[in-house]
Amino acid sequence: MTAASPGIEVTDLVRVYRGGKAGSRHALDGISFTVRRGETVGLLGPNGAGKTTLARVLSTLLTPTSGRVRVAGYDVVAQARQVRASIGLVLGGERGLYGRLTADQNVRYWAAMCGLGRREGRQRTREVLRELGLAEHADRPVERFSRGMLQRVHLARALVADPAVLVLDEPTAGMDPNAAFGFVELVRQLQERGTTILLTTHDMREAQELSHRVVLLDQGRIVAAGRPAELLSGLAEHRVVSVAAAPAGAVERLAAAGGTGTAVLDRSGELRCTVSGTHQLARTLAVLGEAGCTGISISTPGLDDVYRSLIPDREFSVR
Amino acid sequence: MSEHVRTALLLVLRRPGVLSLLVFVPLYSVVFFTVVRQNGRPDLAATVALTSFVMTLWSHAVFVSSEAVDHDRAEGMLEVLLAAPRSYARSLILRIAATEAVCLPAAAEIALIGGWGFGFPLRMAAPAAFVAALLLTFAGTVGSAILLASLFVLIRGARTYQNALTYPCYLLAGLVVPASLLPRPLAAVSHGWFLAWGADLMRDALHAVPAELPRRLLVLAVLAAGQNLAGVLFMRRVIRRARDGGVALHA
Amino acid sequence: MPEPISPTPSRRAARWLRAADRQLYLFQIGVSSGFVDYRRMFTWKSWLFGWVLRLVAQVAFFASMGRLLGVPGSQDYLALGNAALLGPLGALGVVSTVAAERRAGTLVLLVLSRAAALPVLAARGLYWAFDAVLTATLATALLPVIAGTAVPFAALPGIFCLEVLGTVSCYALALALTPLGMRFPETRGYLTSGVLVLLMLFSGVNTRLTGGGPGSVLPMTHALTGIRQLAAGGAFPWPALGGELLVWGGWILAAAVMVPWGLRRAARSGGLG
Repeated sequence: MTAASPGIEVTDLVRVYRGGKAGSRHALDGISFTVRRGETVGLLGPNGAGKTTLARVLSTLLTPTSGRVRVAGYDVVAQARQVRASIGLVLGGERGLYGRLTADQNVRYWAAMCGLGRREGRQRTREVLRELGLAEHADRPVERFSRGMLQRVHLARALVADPAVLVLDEPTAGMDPNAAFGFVELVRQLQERGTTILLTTHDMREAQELSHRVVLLDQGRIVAAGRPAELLSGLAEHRVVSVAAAPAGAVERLAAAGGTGTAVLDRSGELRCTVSGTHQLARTLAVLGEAGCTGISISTPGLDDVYRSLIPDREFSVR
Repeated sequence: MSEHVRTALLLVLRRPGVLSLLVFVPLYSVVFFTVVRQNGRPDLAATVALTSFVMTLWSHAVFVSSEAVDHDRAEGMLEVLLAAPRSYARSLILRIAATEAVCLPAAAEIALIGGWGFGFPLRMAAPAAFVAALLLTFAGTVGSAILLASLFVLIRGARTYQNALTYPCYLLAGLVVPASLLPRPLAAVSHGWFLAWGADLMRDALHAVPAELPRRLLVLAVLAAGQNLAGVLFMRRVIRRARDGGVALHA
Repeated sequence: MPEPISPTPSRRAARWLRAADRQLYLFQIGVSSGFVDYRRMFTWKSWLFGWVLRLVAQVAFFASMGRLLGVPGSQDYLALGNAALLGPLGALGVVSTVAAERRAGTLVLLVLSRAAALPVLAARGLYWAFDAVLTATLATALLPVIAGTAVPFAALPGIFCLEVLGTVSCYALALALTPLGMRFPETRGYLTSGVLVLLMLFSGVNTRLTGGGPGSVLPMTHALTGIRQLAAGGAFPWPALGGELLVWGGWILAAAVMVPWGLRRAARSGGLG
């Protein structure tokens, strides 16, 4: 990485997909942001927001339509080779490995693709597999691995050439909670070593735990960016009142009472009401108590509440 | 052995299904040997042995070696490999060449079937000329596999014509009767194709030192190089299109 | 205890007819959904210039081997045999269809259906046999163009009948092999290519039959003997028809045993989906 250059620098990036019956589509529409060296930035957004397109542009898999993108100080178009040598791409899901090859064989091939010599490649492969707890499984075909183990192999592959910047594209998608927790711990170790990380994810809790800053992307545009605490400050007065099993009519009673927050009832029967300020909180609790609600809990808002307040639900909303 | 070659060999050897071609196409030699024996023409044994060997070489290129890019795409490896610092095209060429080389032992398999199974003396009158022609033909076949690998990704529906690349090509290459006996337009196409020159030269080398050997080897070398050049150019195009978003990176 | 009331013969017949009607209906659904797959597999262009061109070239290739031999009659012999072989060759495709059903996860649904397994599988892949008969008949009719082999016009209906029978016979053999293709998907290529080489060697496709041997139980052997007699201007070869019917019966019995056994085994080992 060139001295003093940010890990990732994106300026006015536009990526348009042309062709097809639908005409052209702006997957990324003039976005700008920076990831400082050693920093972890979480990239959040709904499906189709442009997260994967951005990850692909950063890893030189897609050329930008316009704008400037630099990774580790190198331009992704003019200095693509240097960018590829500086970046480690970790894909989520089960794609991205040869299923019939062992973990060792997959990582060694990647080491060769990174220009490591035979001996060095073998040695580095052994080292990263050991570091990631895969030494005992190195000689098993990866098609027999669990999702959590597969993700470790992905990470091992990305780390074998010691990249300055890591792009993790939905790395915990489809993992069970234990495996996801284990993976998050591995990312923490990388953060301690000072690796620059861009994390695209749907998991708000993961983003909140790992990211120094988050960028919220919607329809190819940045709708919010900043430290999680900054984004949450707008919701500082907000509280979420939940009732695990609300009796019939509770939502209607809240609406009729006035001076309470807006309540929604989900399919499981849980009532969630976001309130603002102490007065509204007290009024809501009183109405719920009168309605015979039990099991009431109050929580502070998280990133998922920020997300929901900024990004409308297009997939499940009925129009 | 380079990691690229090693990976290619592992990928082929761990898919036993794709090796069925290597078992059965050479077994066509049993059919051919039986036919020539039953018709009292043991003198044709070497010719039909060569036919089944070139069939193996070509069908392996069409059905196995050419699958490299599509296989990478199916495994979700294409996007990962395109993001690698080293050239994907270079790795792919090495891998396709290694995959294609897997079928070379079929020559020994066919010779054993002919010699031990049928008692045909399969000798080469001009081994050096034969080996030179074989190496150049092999190089041309690798180029064809690279070209096909690119076409299968670049052109939607190209794969549906994969089957049409076997027997029509065997005829065009003059694997049984010389291509010069084909109808004129087909013979003209055949005249510009490395496989026809390679098969012709190898067949001649079985019986005597081929006439005009240096000139024919030179033509074969030029045609095989052209095939490789076309393959590499198309491969680069595929990679460029993939980076432009014009080719789906995974199946 | 009152005696159980046994259904009257007319009720039994009605029940049997209803069951047969249901099986027939499921068979029809299987066939029509199979043909939907078939239409998706090819466009008319890719069928004609991809598939048919390849098959015609295969016949021309073997006919040219006859020309190479320079023995009178050998070119016609190889051309006719290899045109007829296109029937069995196509029918073997059903092995890959069943393996594809397993890969797609639809095999388990077929097995769960109320119909017997063999008719369901036979119906789903029937388009292979249809295509095989079509291409083999086309190639036989084109033999004068492909290889200069004269086939009397009057013999074509008879040849068509025997081609259908030989193909269906090989289809039955292919169905009997499907459990192996299901259990070990990697063996598909070995199974189909193996049968093809056996047919090329022992069914009289490329070599003259010496009587008896493995050919007598292989599909197409008897039908092809009949086809050759018809092409030579002979009368309809009823013994060949009978022989091929017997071979078909044998293989369909084998399939009726193998398919349910294979599915039961796959269900036990969790290999259905």
